[in-house]
Amino acid sequence: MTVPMLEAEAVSVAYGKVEAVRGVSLTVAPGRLVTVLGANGAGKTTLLNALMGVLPARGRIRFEGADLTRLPVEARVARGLSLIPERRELFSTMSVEDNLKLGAFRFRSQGGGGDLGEMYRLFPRLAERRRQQAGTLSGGERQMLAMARALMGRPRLLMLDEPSLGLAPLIVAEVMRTVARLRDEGVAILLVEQNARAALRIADHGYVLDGGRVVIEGDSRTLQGDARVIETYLGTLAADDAPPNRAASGR
Amino acid sequence: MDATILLLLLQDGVVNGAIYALIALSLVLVFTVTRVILIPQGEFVAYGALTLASLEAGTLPGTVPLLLGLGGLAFLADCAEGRHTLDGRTLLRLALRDLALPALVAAAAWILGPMKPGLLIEILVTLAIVTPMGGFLHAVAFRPLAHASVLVLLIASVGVHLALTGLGLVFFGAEGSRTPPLSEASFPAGPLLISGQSLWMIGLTLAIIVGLWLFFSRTLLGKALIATAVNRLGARLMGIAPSLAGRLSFSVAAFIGALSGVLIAPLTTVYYDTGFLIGLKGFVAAIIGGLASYPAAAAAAILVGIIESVASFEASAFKEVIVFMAIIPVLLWRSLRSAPIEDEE
Amino acid sequence: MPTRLTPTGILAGLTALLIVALPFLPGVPPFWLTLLTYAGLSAIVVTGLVVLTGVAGITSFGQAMFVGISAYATALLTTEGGLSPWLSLPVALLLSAAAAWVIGAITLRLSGHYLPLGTIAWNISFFYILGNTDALGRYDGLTGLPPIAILGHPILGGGEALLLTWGFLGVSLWLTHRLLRSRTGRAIRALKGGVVAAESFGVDTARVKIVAFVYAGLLAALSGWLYAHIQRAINPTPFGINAGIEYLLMAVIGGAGSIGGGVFGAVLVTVLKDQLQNVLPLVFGAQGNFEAIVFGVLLVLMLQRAPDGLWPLIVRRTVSAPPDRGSAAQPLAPRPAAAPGTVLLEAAHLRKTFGGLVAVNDIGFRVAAGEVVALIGPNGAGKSTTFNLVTGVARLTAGAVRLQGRDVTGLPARRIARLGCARTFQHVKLVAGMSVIENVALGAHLRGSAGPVRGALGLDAAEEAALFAEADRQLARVGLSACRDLPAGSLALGQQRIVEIARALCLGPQLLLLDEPAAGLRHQEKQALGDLLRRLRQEGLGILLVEHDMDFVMGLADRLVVMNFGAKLCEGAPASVRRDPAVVEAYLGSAA
Repeated sequence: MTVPMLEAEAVSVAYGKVEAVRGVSLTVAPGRLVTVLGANGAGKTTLLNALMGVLPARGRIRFEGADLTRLPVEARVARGLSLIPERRELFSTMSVEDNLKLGAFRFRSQGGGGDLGEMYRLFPRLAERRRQQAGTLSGGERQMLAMARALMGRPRLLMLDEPSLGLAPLIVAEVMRTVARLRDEGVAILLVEQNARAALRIADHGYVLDGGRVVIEGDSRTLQGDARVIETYLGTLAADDAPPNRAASGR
Repeated sequence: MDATILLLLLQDGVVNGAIYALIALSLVLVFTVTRVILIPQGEFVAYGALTLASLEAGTLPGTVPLLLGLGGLAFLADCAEGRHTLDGRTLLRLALRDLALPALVAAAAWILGPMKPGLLIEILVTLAIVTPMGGFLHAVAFRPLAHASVLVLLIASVGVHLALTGLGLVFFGAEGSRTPPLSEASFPAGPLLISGQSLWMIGLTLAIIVGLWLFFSRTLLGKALIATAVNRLGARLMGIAPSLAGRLSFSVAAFIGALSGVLIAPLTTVYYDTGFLIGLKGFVAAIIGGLASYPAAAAAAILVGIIESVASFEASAFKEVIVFMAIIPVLLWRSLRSAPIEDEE
Repeated sequence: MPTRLTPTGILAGLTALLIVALPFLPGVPPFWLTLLTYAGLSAIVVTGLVVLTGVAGITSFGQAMFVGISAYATALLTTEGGLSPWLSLPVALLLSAAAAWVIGAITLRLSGHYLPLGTIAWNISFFYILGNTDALGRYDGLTGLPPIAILGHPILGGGEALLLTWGFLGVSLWLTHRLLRSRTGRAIRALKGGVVAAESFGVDTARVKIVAFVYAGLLAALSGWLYAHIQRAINPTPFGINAGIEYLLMAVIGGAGSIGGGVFGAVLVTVLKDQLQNVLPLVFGAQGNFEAIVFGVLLVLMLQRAPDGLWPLIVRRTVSAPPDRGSAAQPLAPRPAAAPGTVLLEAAHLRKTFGGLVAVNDIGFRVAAGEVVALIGPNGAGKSTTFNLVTGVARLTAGAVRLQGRDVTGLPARRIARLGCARTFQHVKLVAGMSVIENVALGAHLRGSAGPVRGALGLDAAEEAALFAEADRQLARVGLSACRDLPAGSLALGQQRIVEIARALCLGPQLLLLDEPAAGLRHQEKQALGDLLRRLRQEGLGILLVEHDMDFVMGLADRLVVMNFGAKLCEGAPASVRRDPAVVEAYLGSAA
């Protein structure tokens, strides 16, 4: 086991009296792709927001050895953490190119941000639409822009919240390929997905959340065959009744 | 009313409207970036005019100790805000920005003031005194309320207005002041005599508008401000701290306010509380523009200026009434257009 | 009504005693009597602001205008018109109320910040109108007003004015207290829980806002009338924008969330202002408007440190005690259920686009009496949007919705509620600070009829008892009677969802629409919820639920409608749906 890059220890998040994440611990090693799975309301998005500092959390969050727990979002961005949230949060009335330029904001005084040309090579569709307002893009293009914008900040750890949400299957495959390629280029990735099959296919390691807790943890190959993962999504009845080989096969 | 008078009134209206336009622009900027409805914008105007008048008279303006005090408070607030990331370098940067810079400005005012260095230098000193106050005020009063609702921010804004007006009375007394015009020249244009002062006002307004446009369209910092206005969370995720955006927009607002004060000071006697009404007229324009669009706010401001100047000729006693009532049809129109049911979440 | 000894009640009693005793105590300087009279006058206005700003969430900087309208009206009527002050009072009240109604009708539909900015503009205009109108004495104002006479005895200031003012304040507080706990009051308080929720139970929120606005205007008018006849001379200054700001300041500093906070703030600010005016010039060694500086700084600090004002720090905030349970009143007569199999809801070809995005595409289904239909599908499938289309919260792009054969397409939520259709929300929308039972009673809003006047005067006792008996019955039905008097916000999320169901049942619905009712519930709670829904089905209710929890739905629903990408994937009995490969794929992701 290599030295972890991100280390969350007993992280809890509460909305008022309601605890959405209860004592979750997870680690992401450098250059690895880790996925967090779980049904609706399991606390996945809340967990990512807590890791990014969007929500206040109890517990301890360390990144490359430094304690981040009480740092604001911007300070975490400055250290190389990046989150692509579920709603993408693009600057909808600004041009695609301005969105990308702002992605490198953290390098504004010293230089060293991502390269526009590189992003346009990686996402040719964005080059075509560079002058267009971000709000006019299609769902798939928005996801591309969100990823390119995050990459402009040269993140050391990229967290993605449901990148497949609302996308057609073909585009989901493309997004997943891009995520896998980023990992191959050395960016550590934490991927929250409800498309369990797609996520497990590219991930190295996975966690399954239920009721705000980690209920299953293991490498992705093991999880692909774990009936309990299916159960999380389809409920016990379905898991019992559905032909197991069919429902569980990852192919 | 004959054509000449109408032209005269129009000219007057456009000149006044230019000031309202500047104020409306800064109000829109501050509101979209921070959600604060900046009632104290008027105080920046009054501070600008009265600080200049005070320098003109060869005395040290009361805004100088205020600047030092606000800088000190902002330093404390900044330290408290950044207590988890505070290191030597950050501390030094904060001290330079919050303590050394005001001290430098104060020293300049103290040395230059009695020398009567001429209008241009005095104007520059005035702007240097008032502009940093915007950022300091944001750090002290509004940043701790970053998560509050628009209404809470509005009430806080009124609180800051009360305090700054009271301080204005302490510093400048109840007497009004007037400064010499930027230019004594005047140019005949048909039946009108256009003064150098009004040309200065319109010219500087245009320059500011062009400057703002360049800032927002050409610089990353300007784009970061727009980005914060468009999507606060998105901006934070890019590392654009809301406090940075807030401080910047407040400073721009204070600069524009002080400049407006400098521009109107030769035209009208400015009292410590004059700014409130001027600021509110900027509001009327900003509201007509929907508190969102810069061109609409600027156009509405010119309209407000013209309404005011025509009203003051036709029914001078009711000029304020007419100006403020001008927003009723606008509110009515917005009210009929707005969706009836909507949760603010 | 049974009276209980609450800390607030004791405090109110002591204050009343003190005020009554004050004029008769030896050695009390007359100056203090006058100061407290002014505090009382302000407190009346601020009490209106508590209803308007603290409870309804509508900020007004312009209450001084309503004070002024009334003061000038009574001044003209009593000097020029020669009326007695008692005769001019109703006219003054009516005039202010009319002004409030007109202004409210124009601006209250605006969200957020336009209203407060509008009130500033109005109050400034009002000041200049007063100052420039000859008939109103311009900036000099009007003088020579007659004093108020009680049984022929003129009230000429001092202790008598104090008692008169605080007497009226007491009446105002009592009326306000009654109003806030009445049917209209619950509707006003429901504004805090979200306009959508209130509308979904038939509350006309636009009208309720106007009621709050007019009520605040009336109290301001009462204060203005008193002020005019105690002062016996008026000029524009006390009715300018600075006075309007000061009233709001009192409410915020005291604590706009409660009646006690308003009174406390009014007294505190009045006394503090006076003291600061004496002390500060000595400290600074110069003349100036120092108290404004102090108040400004104080206001900002308050908002930063104690946004709910000082009052909650003094008196621990208690939820206003709702009526006792077990009153003899009969619950409302149950509404007749529709005959089993009657089609209650029919959605046909529903379509919704946001910009170019198709969120819901050609969805159709039916819900009949006595059946449970579940709308399921993965995240982002368009379930919640469909739900909002059916309930009138979102506007259809195309398609039609029929309730019991009646076309309700395009009707607002509160009209749909009238047709016996009740709902719950995915993100719980209860009024957190209101007791559970009052939240539930809001569901019965349409089954009562008492308006604000009956409520404030306490003439709604029988109806209130029936509404609360019904609310108690529904709360018992869902098994949460034990939580009856707790603030709704203190319950666990799962319990809050159940409270929402009780509130929905209070409407007496034939059709129940539940948006993710099982989310956040523990296993046993889910079972209890399932049992409850089965009972309701047995009683003939039609139930449509949006759910993500397959387990919960499988054992409960008669039919499932599965959505994906905004379109209907399939429809059928649970057993067949869960074997459908397309459904498995939609939930687990494509295997391709």
